[in-house]
Amino acid sequence: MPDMGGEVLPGPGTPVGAPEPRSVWRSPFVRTLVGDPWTILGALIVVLFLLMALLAPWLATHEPTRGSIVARLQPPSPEHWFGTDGLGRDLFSRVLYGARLSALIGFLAIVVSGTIGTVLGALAGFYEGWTDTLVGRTVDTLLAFPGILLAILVLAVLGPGIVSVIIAVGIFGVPTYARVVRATVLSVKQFDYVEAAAALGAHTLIILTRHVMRNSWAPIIVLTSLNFGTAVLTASALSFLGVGVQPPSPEWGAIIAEGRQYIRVAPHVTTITGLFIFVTVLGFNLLGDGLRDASDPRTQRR
Amino acid sequence: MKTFIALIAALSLSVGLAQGGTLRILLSSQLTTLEPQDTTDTDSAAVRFQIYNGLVRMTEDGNVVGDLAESWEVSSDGTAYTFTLHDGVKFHDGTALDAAAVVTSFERLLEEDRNTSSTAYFQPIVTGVEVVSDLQVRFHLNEPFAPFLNTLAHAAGHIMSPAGIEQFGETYGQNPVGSGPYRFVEWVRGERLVLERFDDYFAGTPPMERIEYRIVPEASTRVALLETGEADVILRVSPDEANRLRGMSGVELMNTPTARAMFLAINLTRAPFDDVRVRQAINHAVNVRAITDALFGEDVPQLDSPLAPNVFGYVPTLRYDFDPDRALELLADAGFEPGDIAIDLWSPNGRYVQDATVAQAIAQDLDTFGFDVNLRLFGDFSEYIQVAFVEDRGDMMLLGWSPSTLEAEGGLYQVLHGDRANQFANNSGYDNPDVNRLIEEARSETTEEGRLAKYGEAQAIIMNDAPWLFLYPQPVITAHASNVSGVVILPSEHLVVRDTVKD
Amino acid sequence: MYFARRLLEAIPVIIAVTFIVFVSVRLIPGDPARVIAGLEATDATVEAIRADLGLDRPVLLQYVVFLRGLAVGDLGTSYYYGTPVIEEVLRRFPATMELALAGLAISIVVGIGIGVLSAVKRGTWWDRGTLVFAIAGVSMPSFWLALMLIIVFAVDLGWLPAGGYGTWRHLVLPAVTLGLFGAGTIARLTRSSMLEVLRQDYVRTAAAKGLPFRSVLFKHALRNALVPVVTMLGLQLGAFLSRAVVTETVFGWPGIARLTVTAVLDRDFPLIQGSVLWLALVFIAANLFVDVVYAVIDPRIRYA
Repeated sequence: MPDMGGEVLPGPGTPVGAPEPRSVWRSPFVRTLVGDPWTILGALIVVLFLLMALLAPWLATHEPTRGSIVARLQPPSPEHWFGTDGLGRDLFSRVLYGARLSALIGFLAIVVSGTIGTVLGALAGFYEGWTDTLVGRTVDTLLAFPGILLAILVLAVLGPGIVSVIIAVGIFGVPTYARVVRATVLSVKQFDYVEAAAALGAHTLIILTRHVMRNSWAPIIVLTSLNFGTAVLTASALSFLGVGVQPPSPEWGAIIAEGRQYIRVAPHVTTITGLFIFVTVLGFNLLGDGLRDASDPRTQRR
Repeated sequence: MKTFIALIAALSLSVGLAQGGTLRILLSSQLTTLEPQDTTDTDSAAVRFQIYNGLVRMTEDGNVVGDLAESWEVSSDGTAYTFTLHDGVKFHDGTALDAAAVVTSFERLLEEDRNTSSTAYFQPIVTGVEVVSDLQVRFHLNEPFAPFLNTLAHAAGHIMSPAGIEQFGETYGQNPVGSGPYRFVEWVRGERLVLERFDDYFAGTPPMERIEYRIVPEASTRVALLETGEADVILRVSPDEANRLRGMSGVELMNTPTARAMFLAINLTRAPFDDVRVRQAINHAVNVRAITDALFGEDVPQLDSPLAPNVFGYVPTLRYDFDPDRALELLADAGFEPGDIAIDLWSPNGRYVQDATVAQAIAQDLDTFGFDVNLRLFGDFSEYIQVAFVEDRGDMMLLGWSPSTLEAEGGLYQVLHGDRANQFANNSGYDNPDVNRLIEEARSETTEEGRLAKYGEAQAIIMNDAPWLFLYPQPVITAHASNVSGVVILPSEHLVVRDTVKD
Repeated sequence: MYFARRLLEAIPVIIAVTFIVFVSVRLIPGDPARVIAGLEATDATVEAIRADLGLDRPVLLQYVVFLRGLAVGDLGTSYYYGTPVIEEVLRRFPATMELALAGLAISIVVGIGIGVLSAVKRGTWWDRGTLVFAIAGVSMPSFWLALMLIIVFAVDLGWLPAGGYGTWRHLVLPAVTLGLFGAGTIARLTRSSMLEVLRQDYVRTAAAKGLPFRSVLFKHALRNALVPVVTMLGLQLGAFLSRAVVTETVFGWPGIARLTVTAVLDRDFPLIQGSVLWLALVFIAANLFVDVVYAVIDPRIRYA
């Protein structure tokens, strides 16, 4: 996971207990966010990507998995805006549907990471001691693997295919979520008013949940944005290595894998698709970075 | 750190010394072993064919000529073959290659409990090998087997050094000792393998000083290396790259039609594929010609027989033209609409030239026709074998079968004889008693015409039964630098660089 | 003492890692015994081979056998190559190390350089530019970058070899592919860390006292700024090796990352286990090394 520098933990500066701003829109968070052009660019890219994914069936000019072999490897033309691939399929439509696939994989993988990570992190933070060590060690174990190898192993066991990819990529992202949640839980537990509320008889779990949510939403959003980019990147790398999503699925990595054999004859397939992966991941990273800057009081514009 | 720098320096130095007399060949996958009796992959063969000799060998045109054997005689009943060896042949370790050595080498292959991929070629037919005199060996067969010479030309018939067997035993594969023009020097796994000229080669001084093989898995990198002059010969060039290289100065292309028939085995044991009309419909529903034209160029014909045209026994029989209307008729006869039939189409990915692309193109055609196609590609060939042939079976499975003996027995028995039904490689489960009988009878035919007749009949029945979706004989494209000549690719796809020279 | 404790803590991790790999590898569909036996082998032969490899015994028992072998340094024999696993692993490892170090060197030099520059010139276009460069480095699919680099530098320009291993020239493109990603991350981290440090009082004091800016920069600021960078390097090793897998594959670099991947694809159990174990060990060693460097750079830690 690309740790972009700077911890993503709710630190002492997290806006809890700070005076509430008059309106959300004027808060330092939002002001920082919209003040940075790169963040806006990132957000724009993400929005475009999601639109591509959602509207693929309507925007596509051809069927993504059907083509005429006679029309293979054609460069971009009025009929095929991005040209065709090795089997005569329209690249533009494939890229669109590929966005859809990447969005799906990214989203579901994050659900997987987030869920498991949150549970693990909460357990570790809440119970501390023994559970904490166990969870810590589990997370360490996962970190001991280079991510791709772990994913390949998982895929070898589960067999290739989109579901397996989602699971493999999801497992990959668990450690970061776990850490954030754990740290939040630990810090929240110490707040006086939590202890007070507990003394008054309120259910600890509910208190914790509410406060954990309140305090960790910022880092979680940042993580989500960054991890989405990583998920897309990892999934495409796996397809590229041949163990991820299978043809004829137009997953971006798979398109590049297929295009690599004629990269000298028809480079448009690899180049264009690679560019899409690059820009999409860039967008998520820019956005994630911007969100991080916006939620950290040290870098906020006040 | 220091040793590592020294290593780098040494490597660079060794590369420098070898210049002018080193042939650099690029391979695509890891070599498994160099033991002749235990391996079937083409890349290992590209090395083995320079290290070993057999009693006989195959030429480019598919003829069998003497290698270690000067001459031979066949007994009148066809069960005894006597070979007279050249005199003065030596192994790389200095020991003599005489009749005793040949016998030792073969006895190892024929050992009772020895079970390698090559034993199937010899164990069932050879009952014994004996020394007749210093330079004469006799093979006894349990019944006349016309393709015997071709079988001996196969890699499994390469002669191993008895002294080497003694010394290395099971690790012979990592320390090969042969009698061929180039001897084994070193093997850095996954990286490179080096052979050096064997000065005492019996058939004359080999032209090159060294042969260096390098493993480069990435196809476009291999081509790039050839273009930049860092490699002399590259194998298995994709047709698209070939198109680009054509006409480029400094590079020459060789297009070899091989004996490998490409097809999709249709699983006859499963309805509705047990109905011959359905299978014929499948054959008519795919535009094989368009696919091969687009991918390989117009020189590659469509198969009109289960055998490739350069295999002995081939008879042009029946071609299934692209005819969707006829396909619909046949289906209707059988009581089906295209939409009623679901097809699980499986294919390896990267095993054969353009296999995945072909499989997808075929799936596209079948899908357009109206079948409900489910494509599955297997990146790992051993997984494919495991799943497609042993554990489960798809409805249609892509395979390329090359009889390395270059004749019809090898091309038909394992893939279409009833004895092998439902085992590798007859995974269509085809079992036609007439075909079985014809194949068996052809073995004991003494004349070529007789054999041709039997095989011809068998092919006619097979084409009609359509147990396969018949595709094309796989073309193999090799590229080499213009200053290299004498590169030979046998129809069995094996590389022979014995006479290769580099200016 | 601190290190001894860390070493001890590493042992359960190694055991957990190897156990997980051991079990998952045996869950992979496919029967190595059959693959080794070959296609024409009879069922009896396959069974014999399976017994030979010990695959017919319960998994836990197999694991114990593995651990025992481990104790004497025997990692088993590769199914595919037929040679001892430890030999294969050690043979390939230097190549990956070479690549990793070269890549790391590029990451550090480029990353820190850019990071420091952008911290110093904060707010200008230079600062913005490096930010984007950094993020771009992380966002680029390494296989795509590798292919593009090969096309431009090896084929079109012919300056560098297109793949393989041997001379320093073969190292350039793969190292750049690998290093670019790290460079971005390090640049970002260095920048933010430097900014943090430059704001500190003691730095301003030093500047006020009239010390030349350069000296302030290197003696005080950089040292402290590097602390989080070093920590991060340790964490990044996993990601680095991940990228190495793709890089080694595309360039045909004979390293251990590629070996592990092909081993998984080949279902070569002993080789998978051996190389994963080795990688885990390397990882732990690297982390310890990072701790040492950490202690050296930041004197505050030593006394903690």
